[in-house]
Amino acid sequence: MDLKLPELGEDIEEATVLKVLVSEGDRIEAEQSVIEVETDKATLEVPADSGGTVESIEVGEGDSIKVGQVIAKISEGGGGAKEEPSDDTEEEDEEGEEEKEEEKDKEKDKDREVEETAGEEEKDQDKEKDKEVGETAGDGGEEAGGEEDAGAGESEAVPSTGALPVFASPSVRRFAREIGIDLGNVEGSGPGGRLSVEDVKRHARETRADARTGRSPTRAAKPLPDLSQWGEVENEEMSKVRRVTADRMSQSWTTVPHVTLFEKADVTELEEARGRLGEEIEEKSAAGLSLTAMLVKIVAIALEAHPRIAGAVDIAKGRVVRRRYSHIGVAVDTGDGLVVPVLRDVIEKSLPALAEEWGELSVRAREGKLSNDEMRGGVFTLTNLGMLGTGFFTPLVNLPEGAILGVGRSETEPVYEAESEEFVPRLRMPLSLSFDHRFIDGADGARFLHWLVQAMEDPFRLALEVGRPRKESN
Amino acid sequence: MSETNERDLKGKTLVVIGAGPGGYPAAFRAAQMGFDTILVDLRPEPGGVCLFEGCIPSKTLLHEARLLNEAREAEERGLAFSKPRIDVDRIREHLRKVVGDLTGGLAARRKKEGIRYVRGKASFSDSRTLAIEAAEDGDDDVPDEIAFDYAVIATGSHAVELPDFDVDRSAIWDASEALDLAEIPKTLLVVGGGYIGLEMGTAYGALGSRVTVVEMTGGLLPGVDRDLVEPLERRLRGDGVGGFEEIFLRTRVEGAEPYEYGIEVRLTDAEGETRTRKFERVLTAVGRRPNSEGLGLRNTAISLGDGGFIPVDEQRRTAESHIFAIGDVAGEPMLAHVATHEARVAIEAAAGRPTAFDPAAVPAVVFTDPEIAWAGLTEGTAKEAGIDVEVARFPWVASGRARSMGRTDGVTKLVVDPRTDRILGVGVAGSGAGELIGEGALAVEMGARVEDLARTIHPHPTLSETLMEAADVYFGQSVHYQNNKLGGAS
Repeated sequence: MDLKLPELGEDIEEATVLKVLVSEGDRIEAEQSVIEVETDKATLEVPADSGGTVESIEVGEGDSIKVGQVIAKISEGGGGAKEEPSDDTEEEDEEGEEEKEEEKDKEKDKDREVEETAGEEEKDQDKEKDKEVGETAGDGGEEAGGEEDAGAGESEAVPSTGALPVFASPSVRRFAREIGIDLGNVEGSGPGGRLSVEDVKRHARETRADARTGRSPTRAAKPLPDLSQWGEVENEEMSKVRRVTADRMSQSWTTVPHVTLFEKADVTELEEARGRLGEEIEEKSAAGLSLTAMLVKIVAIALEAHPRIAGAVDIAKGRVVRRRYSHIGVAVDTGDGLVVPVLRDVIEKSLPALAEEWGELSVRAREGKLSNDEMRGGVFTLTNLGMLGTGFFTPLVNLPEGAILGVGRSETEPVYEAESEEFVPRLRMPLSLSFDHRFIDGADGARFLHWLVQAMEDPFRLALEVGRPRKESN
Repeated sequence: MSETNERDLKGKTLVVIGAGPGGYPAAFRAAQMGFDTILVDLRPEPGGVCLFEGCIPSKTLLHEARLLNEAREAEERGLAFSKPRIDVDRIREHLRKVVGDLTGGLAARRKKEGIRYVRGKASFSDSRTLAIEAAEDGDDDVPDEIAFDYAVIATGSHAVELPDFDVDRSAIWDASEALDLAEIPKTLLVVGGGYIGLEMGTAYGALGSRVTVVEMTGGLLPGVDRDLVEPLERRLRGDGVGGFEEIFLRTRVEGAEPYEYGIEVRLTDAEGETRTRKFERVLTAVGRRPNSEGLGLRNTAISLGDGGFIPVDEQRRTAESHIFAIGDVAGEPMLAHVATHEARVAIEAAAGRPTAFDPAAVPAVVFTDPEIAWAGLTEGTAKEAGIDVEVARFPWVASGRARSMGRTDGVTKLVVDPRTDRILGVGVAGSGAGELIGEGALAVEMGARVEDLARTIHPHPTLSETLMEAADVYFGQSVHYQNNKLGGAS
């Protein structure tokens, strides 16, 4: 297998080999550093993709190499060379092996010694760590009010060190800045958690490796060049909502393999019914019968019939978590960024109740008065750009959800009716369903979307959907 | 990397407005990086308030003051000198020579770096052009306009004046005027118990003035941890060497009338009680304001923030991303060394390098006697911000060096994160504290833990040992000071 120079960052096309860290014939493990290279931004180590034996090294120290260029050839499976030993070297090899074993034992002993002497200290440190986690978790509540990040509504597991400066020396901070690593995301290996250059390099390596395997999406953005050198510019500070949106969307875009399916639903009858029933209901409830309320209700029932779509994928643990609740988020454009308030237990609520709740929720969303809790826990998101004239579009999945439905503008179109053999005007609504292809396949998505379309065209189908026993709905 | 930069920067004009401790380092760095650099200031040479009428002359004067006081104190220990003869003219000459040597050196370096020096007042006519008003006594070859690619605003600050009382203005000094050393008044009122007021009071006190201080808030040096102020306050309130005549807290100057030799001042305290006192001179040190007016900022996208400061980001960029602001004009703390560090950041940013102003420790020194110095997180700030810290104190009565100097009026303290034992702040009060705080700043900036400090050999017998001993106190293991871990944190 060829080990090639990976992407080292945007706009970096080549690097200079500083040091070759392995020799031909070495057995290496996955993630072990093979060479050290220097770009004009930083010095970095290039790890092996997988373990094996180094068959040949294709670069020399001082070489300038390009991204994608072969660095070394590595035979897989822990050493092809060893599997077919020639007769006369067999003994030698075995001796060598024994020696190595001995060395290993010695090393183990050494480790044990170190462990024993360090045992107490480590225990203390562990205790300290526990204490730390406990404390920060406890502090969280108090801090939440003032902390800027509280609104992000995510990663609450990350202990915040509050107002303390980064635990790293100025040279480490400069290094991290130069290679675009946010030290807040780096775990320090030094005493008390102090960050070293090594920690930053390790983090850089891991995030790059993660980016290759699609495990983690975070990649530091490249600093913007000074745009004012070409003319007048204006700076606008990103609002908190904007920054959170940016973060989440890049997370979604880089982690989730999106597939989007399109289909049109004939909503002629649905809209008629909405108009008719809406008038009746308006006498009782000012909110009337909103389209959003109807759509979330239909989606909630559709999810009961297609539980896979209501899943959330946990790649690290290798499982899909299926939610048995029916909280549906609806995207709201606040003018200051996008927020997604979540309607709870949709399946149990009546259409007028949902309409009323949504009316109130969307007003508060636009005023920026939602609490974090009101924007969490959704199973599925609905996003409607119809009022802006959009037809089909490709919405991005709102992690950790698995799918999102984009609603476009309904238009009256000529539809050919086979029965009457003529074109009739029908109101058709474009629907775009994006989903996470890691655990939802095209057919799953197509079935779900088509079910939605049929349910909108013939709402009676909803009644056919007998799910699990529900609480009484009124 | 630097090569490409230099190539890119050649032909790019960077103009620095103001040649103080922010402006001249900015200009030097810019020139070294390859910018065509222009430095604009009204003064004949670079140096700013710091060199001409601030830090440098005041510390020179305070050095003489310390000599005087030490000689007086030596008498108690059996070393008596005859009464010092104070030749004010010679001292003044000395101050001017010190300033002249330093500014002269700067001017020579400035020429060597190929920096163009324009004597005048600059204001923005738009976001790419400065209008220059030549200094009245300057050369003729000052341009009317300078077009620039990058600009750094480093115009500093000025002393806040007292309200206009109907008195002879020449009897009222600000700190700069006090450093002209026109005379040594018999009685001096210092209005403002901050660091400038107390430093100038200390200097004039040593030179023979009877000094009174009036401070509006409830304590001297507002914002500084009380346990660090305490040794100084004790000395200032004492009858011995270095003592002031009177100190009035929570008191305002309500009125002033001229009298034969100076000014009669009406002082009103928080209870409404009014006193009158007569002083030959009044020194005002009630704060400084940024020099952000008259810069023509309205012709740019920059608008002033709270307190008249120019708002900047962590790279010291203003609302115009090619215009930077550093030093006093860009916000607190107004300290020369902060301006100098910001100059580095701003120029690196202009050159397109990833950089940020992100210090963990900004050291500050009050050059009184004893001195007070701190770096990083203070106990007071920790409390305000709700940061849980543990404090270890080592009083100088337990220091052999302090005893040998006869100056046990001091304390060294560490502000520590108890979860990681990381040193977040260091504070020192005592003779020479300013020279000790550098180690504190390094400890905080490097992320040192208390153990690192405790296990670093410090030379004996020196005051630097008090830092090591304070670290030992944190672990309840000080050799020279009996305590337990919590004993220090009262």
